[in-house]
Amino acid sequence: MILRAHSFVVDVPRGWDARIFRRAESEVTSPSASTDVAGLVPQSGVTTPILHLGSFPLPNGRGDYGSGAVGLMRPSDVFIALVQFGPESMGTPLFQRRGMPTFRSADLSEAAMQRPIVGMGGAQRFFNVSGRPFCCYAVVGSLVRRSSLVASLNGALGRITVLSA
Amino acid sequence: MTAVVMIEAVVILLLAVLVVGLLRSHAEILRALHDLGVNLDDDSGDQTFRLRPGLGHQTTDRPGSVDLRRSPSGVVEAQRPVDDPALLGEARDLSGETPDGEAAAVGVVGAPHPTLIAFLSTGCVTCQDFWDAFASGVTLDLDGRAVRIVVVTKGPQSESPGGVAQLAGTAFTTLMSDTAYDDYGVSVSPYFVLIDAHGSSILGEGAASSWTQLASLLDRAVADRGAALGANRTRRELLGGTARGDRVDRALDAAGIGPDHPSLHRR
Repeated sequence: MILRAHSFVVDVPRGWDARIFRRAESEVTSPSASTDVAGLVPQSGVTTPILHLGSFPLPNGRGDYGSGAVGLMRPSDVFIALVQFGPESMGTPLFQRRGMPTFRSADLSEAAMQRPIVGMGGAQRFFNVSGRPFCCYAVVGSLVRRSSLVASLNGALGRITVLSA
Repeated sequence: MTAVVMIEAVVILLLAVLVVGLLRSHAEILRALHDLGVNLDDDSGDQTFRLRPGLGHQTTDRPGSVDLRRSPSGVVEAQRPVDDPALLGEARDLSGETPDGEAAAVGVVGAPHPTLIAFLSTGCVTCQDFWDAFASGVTLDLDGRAVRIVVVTKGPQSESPGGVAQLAGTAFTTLMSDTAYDDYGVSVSPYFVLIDAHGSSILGEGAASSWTQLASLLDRAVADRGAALGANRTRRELLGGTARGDRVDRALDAAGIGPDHPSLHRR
């Protein structure tokens, strides 16, 4: 099943859930915002597209990096959050790496999780693809099974195509 | 004095017998209601409806039992045409939008859990009961696995996202998708499709106008799955005998019995 939105094209693996969204921006502009780049900045900040991909039912009301969803994962589950950053991030050292990342099982650790959960593991990579800067945050439901889950994780990442915005 | 004590003892004994009889009768009524999916214990907090695969063997041989070969009142069995008349068809993954405007894909094929797709609308009065039931946390359980509930409405061109968002609960997934209606050939709401775990088999589908009827519909589908597994027959064959003629013809052909065989015309 192909899902397209916000210049993402995802060939969603069988039985997986996917969401592509961009949070609403405030209509009120920030009085202290700099106007020399792209005009007035919304009070909420400029929002960017986000892709969530999970091997389990994704709940409503997830955080950008999967809070609210990660806690529902079973040991056999995988979660991916692909969060785009603003254009000002392009060209910075953090996003220097080009192309969609892949992970090794050794990359996954409890310490790298946004909110550590015993037994689970996470990892994140910053990169750019098609001129868009991203953070990829990945979580596996079981560190014990990470060697098999990382294959599923990389397989899912390989099904994501990022087009120029 | 002894006579009074004796009479009192007899009265107490009779009352004890009466109480035991009443308790037993009460227990039988509760058991029968439980078998029908009715739970009188509203304060229990457990709103799980457990589908019972074992019902496939139940017949009308004893009073109060349910005849699974007949649709319960108010239930309309699926009549969707499929390639193989012996099957209800294959499930398809769902895609569309959430009421919040997210592009969404919902995996039902090959998922590790069974899925109930409820095709509802915001306008129909009958649908309101199902919206309320799902929002209140009613859950389904099949073979010990929680059934994922996915409510599908028509797309944003036909339904108001704001109206759908007001009814969408946090305990279930809500998707707005005209494609899903087309994929499953659904023309009415409310309409339900139950999909098995780890595959694409549709266990049962149909229209139901109340929670009890839906529970009955799903129970029959699950029960028929159990019966079909043993007899190599499908639910549609069991319910309607739609493939019975072809099956009988094939068996007779294999046995060398054609239309002119003397055994068919013996008086």
